[in-house]
Amino acid sequence: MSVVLIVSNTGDIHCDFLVDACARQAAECFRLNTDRFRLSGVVDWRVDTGEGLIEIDGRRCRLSDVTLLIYRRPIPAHQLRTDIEPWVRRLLDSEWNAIECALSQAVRCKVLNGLAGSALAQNKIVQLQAARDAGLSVPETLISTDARALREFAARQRCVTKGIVNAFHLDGKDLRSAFTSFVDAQALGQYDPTGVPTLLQRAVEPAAMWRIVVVGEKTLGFRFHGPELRQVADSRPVERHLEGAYLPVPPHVAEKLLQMRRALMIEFASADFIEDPLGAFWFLDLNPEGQWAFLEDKFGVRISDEIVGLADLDKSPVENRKIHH
Amino acid sequence: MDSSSLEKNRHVKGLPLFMTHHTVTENSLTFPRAGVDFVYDEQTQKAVWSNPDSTTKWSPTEFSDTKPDGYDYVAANFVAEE
Repeated sequence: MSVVLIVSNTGDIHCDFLVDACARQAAECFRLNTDRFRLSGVVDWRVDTGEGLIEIDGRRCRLSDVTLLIYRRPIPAHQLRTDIEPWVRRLLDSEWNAIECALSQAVRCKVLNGLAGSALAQNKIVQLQAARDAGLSVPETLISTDARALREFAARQRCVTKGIVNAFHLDGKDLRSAFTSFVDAQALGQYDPTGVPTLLQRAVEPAAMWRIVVVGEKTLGFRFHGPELRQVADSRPVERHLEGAYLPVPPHVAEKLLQMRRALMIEFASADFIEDPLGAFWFLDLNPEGQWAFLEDKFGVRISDEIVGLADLDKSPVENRKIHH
Repeated sequence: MDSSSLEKNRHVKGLPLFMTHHTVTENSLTFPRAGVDFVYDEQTQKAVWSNPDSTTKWSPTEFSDTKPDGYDYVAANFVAEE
């Protein structure tokens, strides 16, 4: 028995793609959607012997049969409830989260992505250091609480600013979000960064931007270009308007990016690069939980097949191995 | 700026630079809603989408209507030169 276990939520369309990929590769799929499983799923786990069983909707999965574990944005189901006290909601989600995290240690196969690696890889400082260590070009970047250092840095070049971890922040029922934005060097003189670590990065002039999806030892490159790219510091608001193509990643970039992936101890990443007018590639950042379904949809590139293809074939029965890639 | 904005801005002084032009939306609108935008099919283990625009193939903020909340965070965080 070979099972791909997906820990996610019912509304994540990326997992719909993964379910289809499992069917194409004759791999059994067990989707553990935390929004349902935490409320009505069954777990029966003898931790002392390692025998574990999970069950929902009449579907069962033995942990020893799992050949690939995929984590993708599980959601805290109990925190969405209104029928219990907030502290009980947090407590229940904390207990379930511990169980779901422990799955990565219980299964003896690849985990996409390992939780420790994923958490660390979201940190832009760690990313930039890992990129530099791998030999990738990284734009000049300063993190400082010193007003003079920031002003001098911004005076030397056109700069952008962004969050060190992410740009989405919950405020009660609201979500506050910020894209990467250009910095007005003159106005920066009026900003007091005391107690506020501030990231400035040289704004690299773009001839194109690349979204490079890394899955295991493969790199899948998507090059986007268009006049809108020069008008914004963050491509996300305009990416629907850009012209794009699925292209081979230059080998020297692919090799270094894979080296970086290994150093970060993750199996998957969605990385952003800028290609400058001279053709040089500049690493900007990566997301270990990044979106890729729109790329599969738009360009017909089966990223989902590449992910499911990471399943540990050595654990599969011989008859199944023939079908796998 | 009215007095309520001033009051609010006192509490947001020290906002990181990258957040000074941020936008706001209701968090529940940034992901698809079960029973509204999709119905989960237990047999196929996939969602049946009634609102294809709600799928989060792209960034979540592509789908939600996120906009400035009206407070002047620049005024709160940038001190005018004498």
